[in-house]
Amino acid sequence: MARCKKCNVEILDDTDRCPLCNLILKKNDKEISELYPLDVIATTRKHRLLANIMLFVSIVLQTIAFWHDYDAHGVKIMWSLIIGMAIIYTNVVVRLTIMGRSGFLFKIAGVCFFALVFCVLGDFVMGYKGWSIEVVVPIVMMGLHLFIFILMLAHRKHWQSYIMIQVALVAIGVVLVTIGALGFIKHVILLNVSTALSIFMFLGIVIIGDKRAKTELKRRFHM
Amino acid sequence: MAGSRNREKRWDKLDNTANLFPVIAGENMTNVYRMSVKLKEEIQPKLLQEALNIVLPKMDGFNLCLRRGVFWYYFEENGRRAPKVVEEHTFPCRFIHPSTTRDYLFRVTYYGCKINLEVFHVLTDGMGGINFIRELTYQYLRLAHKELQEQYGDVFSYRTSLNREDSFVKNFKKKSKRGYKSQKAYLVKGDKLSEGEFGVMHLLMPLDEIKNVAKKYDATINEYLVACFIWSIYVECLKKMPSKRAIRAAVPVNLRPFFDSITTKNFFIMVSAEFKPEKDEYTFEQVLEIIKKSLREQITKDHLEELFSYSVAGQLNKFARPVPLFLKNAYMKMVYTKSALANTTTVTNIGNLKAEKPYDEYIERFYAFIAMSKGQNIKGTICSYNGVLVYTFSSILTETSIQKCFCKQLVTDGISVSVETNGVYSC
Repeated sequence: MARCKKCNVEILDDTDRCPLCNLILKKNDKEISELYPLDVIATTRKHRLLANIMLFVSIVLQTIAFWHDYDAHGVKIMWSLIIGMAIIYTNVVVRLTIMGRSGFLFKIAGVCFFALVFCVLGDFVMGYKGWSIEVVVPIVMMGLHLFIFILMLAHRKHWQSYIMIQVALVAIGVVLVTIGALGFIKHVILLNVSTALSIFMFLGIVIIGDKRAKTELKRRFHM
Repeated sequence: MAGSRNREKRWDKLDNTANLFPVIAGENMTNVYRMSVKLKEEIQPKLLQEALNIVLPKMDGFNLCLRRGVFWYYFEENGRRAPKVVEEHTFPCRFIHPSTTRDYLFRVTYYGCKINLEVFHVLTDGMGGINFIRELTYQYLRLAHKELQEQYGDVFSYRTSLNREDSFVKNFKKKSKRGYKSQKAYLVKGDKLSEGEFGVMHLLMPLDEIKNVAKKYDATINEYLVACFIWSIYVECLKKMPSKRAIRAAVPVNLRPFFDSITTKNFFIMVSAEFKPEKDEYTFEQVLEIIKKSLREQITKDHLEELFSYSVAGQLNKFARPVPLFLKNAYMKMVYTKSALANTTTVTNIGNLKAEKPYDEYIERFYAFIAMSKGQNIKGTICSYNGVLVYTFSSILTETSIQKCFCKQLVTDGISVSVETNGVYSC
């Protein structure tokens, strides 16, 4: 422990300067307080350094890609945009899954969502052929259904907590099918199949799950 | 809440204040507060985990997880194993990711002789937090000292409330006017600590000394300390110059004594201690008089009732209820942003904490502090125990000039001050 002669206060920390005025302290024999772990500061700074290095490397890589693309094709930049999206996606995935502390379901949903967004963007960059919405979106939706089904089996005690993801998938499917019916999407077979699967899965859960499913829905939709 | 596996899980609505917290909470504005108890002995992690395992299932207000509905958030009985007790290894008041706490909305850590309870404000306010940390500590002590267990058994204190009524809804008055000010306040700015870092500075002072000083100024301890904080901002940031914007400290008021409630849900309301420097060179005495007047005018039952009734009426409005949650969230975020900037800081007073005999002789001190929020880069929390008052500054600013000025005022008034920090200002 030490006393700051300028502030006229006792400093209980193990420090050589006053945290208020930065005056060098003369320690006395009284006991030091160790209320907080000090290595937290170094650990936090190390994590931040790693994140900053990753960001810096990403910016350098993207700049080099842009420069090469521009050098080869002039203003018709294309492949460097795809590399850019891949770099952003890598950053998102690393921050979400490795550095992030959200639940695994949120991480998986997040990774899938961003993958879909980048697929659609990639499709547009390459002169929109429709494969992203017509093929990738329904396949990912069907994959998610399978995954949720496995989770429900694995977490039998809390299976009803996944019901809202199914509701969301039904809603997305209905929106996409409606867009398809209006003629904005050419090949709608896979979309129709995935939406039908969403509806049947949801219905199955509500009918077979009986009271637990209905109670869950009542809670989720209470006003 | 323990029961058969097939029993339907209980659920509960969020109280009026709690509706806001899940909307605005995130890594940068965590809405987490910390309460710590420092014992006179080293913490044994296994016993602390065991104590938590025993206490948690009996505490309905903590045995919860937060669920998102289509129209509202709601609580659901959790029932999983208690979250793992770990040694403190991060900065305090970090965002509570339910995935890291088995979906619970609090965490328990320890360091040396100290037990920390960090609570997401959606669960409860300071009073609920105190209830929990006190029972956890008593249980821990009973496990660590078998003679206590033999004498008292694993039962809760008769003072501990488990009541979960929504006292806002029970006590609100229909047809109330909007009571909050929304003019922008003076905001404390400056160089910030690096991202993720959080500064904590505890000022320890003898309770008797501060009582005498407050009495000398004909003020309560709360009024005196709020005035000291506002004075420090006036001196250090405004350099005693006039300002168009008022320095406004939000002061949470515990509503339980006013409305005869013992709920462990949130039941507090913010009033604002306001000082608008319109001329040069106010003295500390003048600032204190203004703050006293400002607080005393607002802390009346009728005014407090008016303040919370407006927002409860909004929550219960039959046209607002069917609005989807994402639209409600966007609206609440907008309203919050506007009202948050109407305050320079927040000063919370947890009060004089007491521990029951024979546990009190094992407890050295209590600490409490709150996380940062939008526009408010420095906040204060007051709590006292066993004759020592701890005023804690939580801040994300590198500068400590406000804290220094605050200390100077206390020392000038003859109060002996000791300082403890989390080391962030010495690195």
